[in-house]
Amino acid sequence: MDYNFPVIRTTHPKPRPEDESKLGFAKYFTDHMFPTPPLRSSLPPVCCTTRR
Amino acid sequence: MMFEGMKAYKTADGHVQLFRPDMNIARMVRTNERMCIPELPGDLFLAAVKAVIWEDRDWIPSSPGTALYIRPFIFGDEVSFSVLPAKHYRFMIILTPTGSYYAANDGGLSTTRIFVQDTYIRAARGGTGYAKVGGNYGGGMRASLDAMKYNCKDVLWLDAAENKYVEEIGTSNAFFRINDEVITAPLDSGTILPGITRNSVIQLLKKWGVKVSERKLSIDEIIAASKDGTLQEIFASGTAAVISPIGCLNYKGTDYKVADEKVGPVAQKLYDTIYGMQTGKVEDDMGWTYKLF
Repeated sequence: MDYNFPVIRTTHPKPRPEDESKLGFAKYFTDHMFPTPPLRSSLPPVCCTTRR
Repeated sequence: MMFEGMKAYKTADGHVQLFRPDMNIARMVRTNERMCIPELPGDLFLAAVKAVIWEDRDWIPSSPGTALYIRPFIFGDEVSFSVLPAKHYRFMIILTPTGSYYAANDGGLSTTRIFVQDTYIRAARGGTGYAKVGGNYGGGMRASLDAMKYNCKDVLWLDAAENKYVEEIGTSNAFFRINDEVITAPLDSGTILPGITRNSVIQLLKKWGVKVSERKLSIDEIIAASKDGTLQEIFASGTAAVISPIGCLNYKGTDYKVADEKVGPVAQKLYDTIYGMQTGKVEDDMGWTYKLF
C-alpha cells in the first residue's frame, strides 16, 4: 500500500551537531517526528472508571 | 508502552539503508500481541520510518561508528486510571544521530566492565522479557545504579528461577566464547529479548564454521572457565552498540578479567562484518540491508 503522509515542516530548524565524534547516544534529536492520530484498538470496548 | 530500536546508515555512495527492518516489524507484532496493543501494518511502519528519515536526511551522520538511531514507539493515550488495555493508541517515531555506544576514543571497539547481578532479576518465565516494552528496562534501573558503584557499565542478568543461568547483558544479548564454543542463552524461556543483532551473530558464526550453541550457561561454568583459562571472550550484541566486548566481570565482589581486557578476535570480526554491511563497506551476502533511498 502507498502511504502519502502529510508533512508539516518546522519553521525553526535546529543547528545540527558539528562534531560527529561527540554525538554520544540520544543527546541530540532531529527536527521532525512521525505522529499518527489515535489508533483505535480492535479490542472490544471495556468499562472505564474515567472517561474522556 | 512498546518501542523498537533500529538505525539508518549512510553509505559511502550516498545511499541511506536500514538493517533487517523485517525483523523489527516481526518483533513489534509479537510485542503488540503480548501487550494488547492493536496491530500496526508492517508496510505502514516501514513507510513511516522512510518518511521521517527523508525529512531529516541531512541529520544522518557518516563518521565511523555513527548512525541515525530510530525510535518507533506506541503508547495508550486515553485518559484513564483503569488497569485495562487502552482503547486508543498513538504510534510515533523520533530520530537521534548517535555515535558509538561504548566507543574507544578513535570510534573503534573498547572493552567494558560488567557487574553480575544476583539480587534483582530482569524477567521471569511467562512475563514480558521477550517483548520490547519500557517496563523491562525501568525495572533494571536500580541494578544499573548498583553496577556503577563497582565501576561497571552494565549488568549481567541471571535467570529468575534459580539465579544461576546467564540471560542478558543490560540492554543487549550476551555471548560467551569458552573452549572455542560460542554460547548464548536460548529464547525458549521467553525471558530473553530476541535481538536482531543476536540473530545476525548466530547466523554469521554458523556461516564461518564457528561452533555456536543456544543453551543454558551457568555463572559457575563461566567462573570455572575464567579460572582454568578456557574463557576466551565475552561480548554483548544489540542495535545500539552492535558488538560490545566485555573485558571484566565483577561477581560477588571479585573481578574476573577476560582475555587481559583486550577486544577478542571473534567480537572484532563480527563488528567489522555487521557494521561493514550496515554502512556498505562490506558486501551484504546475507541480504540483510534495505535501501531506503
